[in-house]
Amino acid sequence: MKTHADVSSVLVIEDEPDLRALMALVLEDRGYTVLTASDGREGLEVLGQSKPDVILLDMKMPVMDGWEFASRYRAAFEHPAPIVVLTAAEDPRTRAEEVGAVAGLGKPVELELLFAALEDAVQRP
Amino acid sequence: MELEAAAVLTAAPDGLLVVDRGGLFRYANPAAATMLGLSAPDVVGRSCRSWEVAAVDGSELAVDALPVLEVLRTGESAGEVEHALRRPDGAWAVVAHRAAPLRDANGAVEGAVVSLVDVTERTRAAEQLQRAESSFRMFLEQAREGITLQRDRHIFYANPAILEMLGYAPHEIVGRPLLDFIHPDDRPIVRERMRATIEEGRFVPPQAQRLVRRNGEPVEVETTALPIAVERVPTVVAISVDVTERNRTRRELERSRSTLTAALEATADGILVVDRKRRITAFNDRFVEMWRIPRALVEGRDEGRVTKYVLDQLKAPDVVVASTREVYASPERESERLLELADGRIYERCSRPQQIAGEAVGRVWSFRDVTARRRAEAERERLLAEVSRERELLKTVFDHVPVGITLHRGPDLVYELINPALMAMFGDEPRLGRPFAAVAPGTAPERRSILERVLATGVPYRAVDEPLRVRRTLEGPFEDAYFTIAYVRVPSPKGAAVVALYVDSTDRVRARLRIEELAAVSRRQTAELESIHANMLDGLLVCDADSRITHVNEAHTRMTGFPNLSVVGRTVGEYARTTGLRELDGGPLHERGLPLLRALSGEIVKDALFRYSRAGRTVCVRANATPIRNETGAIVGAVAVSRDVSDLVEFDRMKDQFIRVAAHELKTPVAIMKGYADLLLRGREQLPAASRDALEAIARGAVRIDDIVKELLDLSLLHLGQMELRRERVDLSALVAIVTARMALTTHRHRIRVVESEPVVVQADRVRIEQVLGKLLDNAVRYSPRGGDVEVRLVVRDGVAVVSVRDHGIGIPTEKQTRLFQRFYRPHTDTPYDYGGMGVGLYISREIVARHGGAMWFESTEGEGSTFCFRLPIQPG
Repeated sequence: MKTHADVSSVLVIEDEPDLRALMALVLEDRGYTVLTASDGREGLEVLGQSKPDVILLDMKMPVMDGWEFASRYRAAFEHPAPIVVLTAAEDPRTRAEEVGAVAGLGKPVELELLFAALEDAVQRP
Repeated sequence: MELEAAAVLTAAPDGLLVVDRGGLFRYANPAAATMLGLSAPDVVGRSCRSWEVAAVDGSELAVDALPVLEVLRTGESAGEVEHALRRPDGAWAVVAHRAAPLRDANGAVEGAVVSLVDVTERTRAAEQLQRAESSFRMFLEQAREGITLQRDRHIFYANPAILEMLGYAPHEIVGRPLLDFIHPDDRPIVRERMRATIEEGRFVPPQAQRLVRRNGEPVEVETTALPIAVERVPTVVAISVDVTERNRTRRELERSRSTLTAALEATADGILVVDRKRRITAFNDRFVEMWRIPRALVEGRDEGRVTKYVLDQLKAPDVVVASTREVYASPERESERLLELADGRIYERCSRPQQIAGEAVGRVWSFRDVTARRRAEAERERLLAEVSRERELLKTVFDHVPVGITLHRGPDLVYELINPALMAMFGDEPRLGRPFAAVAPGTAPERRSILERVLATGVPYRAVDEPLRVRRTLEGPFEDAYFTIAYVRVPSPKGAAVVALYVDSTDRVRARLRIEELAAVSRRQTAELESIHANMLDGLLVCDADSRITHVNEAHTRMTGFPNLSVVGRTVGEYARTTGLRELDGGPLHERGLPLLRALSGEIVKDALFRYSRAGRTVCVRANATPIRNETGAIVGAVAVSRDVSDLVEFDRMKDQFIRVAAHELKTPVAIMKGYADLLLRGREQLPAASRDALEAIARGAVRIDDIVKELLDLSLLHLGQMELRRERVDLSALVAIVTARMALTTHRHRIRVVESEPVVVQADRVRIEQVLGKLLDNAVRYSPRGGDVEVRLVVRDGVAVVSVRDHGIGIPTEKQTRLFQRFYRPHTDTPYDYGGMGVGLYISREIVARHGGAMWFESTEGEGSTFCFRLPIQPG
């Protein structure tokens, strides 16, 4: 089954390597072109070279957390990509609002919900 | 006047007797008694037949022929009979006997009045005359009267009687002129008499005159002179009767009358005597004086005018007029009445018939001024009435006063007087007339010596609340009682006595002792409580009904840092403001939320948490408060016990923090675990069965860990008050449909479906409501192990939406239902139906619903299933 992901790219910013690898595996399996970064600063560096369609963002990270990343990202880029928050916090939606994300998902996430959120974000005008 | 009559009777020379119908003498005057030869009192009571009688000539005389018996027999007056009677001494007397009937008011004969005249001497003279019938001289010699024969104004014969009368011998008289023997003052009368008899030959009826005795004494005589011719010589016979005695009697009578008159005048009574023809016959000066009546008016003897004068002075003359008329109408009647004069004086009027010889001849009115006496009597009456009233009062008091009263007299202290109160106090044992020691042996020796001392010395004894052992009834048990006692010696006609007064103060003393006991207990308890308060770790704050703080203990002071003195007396509200008390989350505190004030309105406050700042540090307190009620249940104050739970709160916060951190830390590994498992299971058809089961177990375990983590996080959020709702418009019917459908997919043995639904939109946190409904459905499936229907309903009523989930599972035992919503409560622990879980799902669900302004409840029957419901308010618009 081909989806939008076939032609979309996603940047996964996640400090936990196992989870980052899992996300990469899952999303590539889903057909996304996957970019990864281990924290906010690394994420910004990746974004300096490529322009993904959507960003899957963890909030609590060393070096640069999700909040700082989002703030800097929006300040530096004219047309930022939509962000989907994936957090262990008890209220992912609040986190999402805090950083202007289009959706907030809690860990652990149902894969179907993850896919739905990402595809929803990509199709936004 | 009777006195007068009596005196007259007594002095009368004639014998007067009264006999009754039976012929018994009822009265005899002295003269009669003398004739009958007895003293007057001896005569009375004798029969008139007791004297032997005879005719004057010595022949027999029938007693019945006596006039007195004839009168008694016939009722008519009898003529005079002269007869002889024999005196007790044997001498005979001759009496002229007359009798008249004595009648009562009806005219019946009730006796007779007898008059006796002693004619013994005369009879004797008459006998001599008869015997000397042939001899005139003999007659003259024997005559009792003095007889002289005179010729030519000279006496030529004088009989022995006259000689004896004058004390001369015959030769000293014969031949001398008559006038020589006549009292000089009377000589003109005698000369005139002599002229009449001598010159005119006239008979001269008896004349009073005085002769002169030889010794010069005058002799009063009555002289009758008649001319006769003796041998043709004109002769005058003068018969003189010595009337000295008669005159003396008359004079005595007159003197007696004047004495009576003097007595009349001397009396203090005013006296008016009126005869039967209503003429005034006598009155005294006092009468004139009393009625201030002109003397001339009385002397006019006209009773009518005097009476009118008297009546004019009366207060009520008409009544007196009528009474006077009645009195006059019956002559025998006696009357007494009081006359009130217009000027206030009071006269006593007495009216009696004036009787002479038993016959009413007039009426005597006597008047006595009794004004002073009446006033004195009235005063005496008043005093008597007063005394009687006081005596009555005294008796009433004696009988009813709640003071035991008794009187002891004599060395044995005999009970002489006992009032009812005393009997009530000391029992109804017989006491009167018995010695003290015989009655109360228990307390006798001691009591007795006290009573004896009072009797001997007269020093009163008084004691307050003295204990005595008493018996309230004769057979009753002895009991301890208390009395206030007074023993007082009193004089009395029969010798000194002791009055003993007892006031029963048992109840009062007992009450006092009880109060003292209670006070001691109260003091001890107070001390204990104060000690407890002072040493207790919890802070204590007490306020009165006006919310003023009345008590603060050490611990409270330590906790707040405010000295006691600055706290006591303030209102609870003031105190809260001063300390800066806030809600636990730091929000402002409304005064109504203060535990003491809530308790004053009747609430029992449990575990209310507050915070305030002290010296830069946040202090958390947990307070419990309860109303203080008096014995009638009214709230008179409140007490709050508070504890510094800062450490606990901090610990709790740290715990929640830890849980949150731990939960977060768990989430990532769970996500990795579940993610990989899910990833691998995406190609489950190609996997060997063993690997597939293992991966599915890993995925399920990850889900369960995730559920536990979520519940722990929710608990800590609720506990910290940090669960925030994200309200939005939620189509509740759609939500119910989706969640129900999703749950239906997870099970094959149950038929889960919406059986009733209405379109309704609520303002709610979608995720949280999904969580609640999911939990209810999960429980329904979990506790219906045999499968079956699970019915979901959504109904709208009265502005609320009600969602219910009904299963037909094992149900919840009744005794466990009340605790169902408690945290960590697992009703099926240690039963075959223990399907795991922390026991917080329903708690969290109910809290979520409550935070939406709704409520959750359930009905359940063990073995039949349960129905869980929650309702949410529908926001208008």
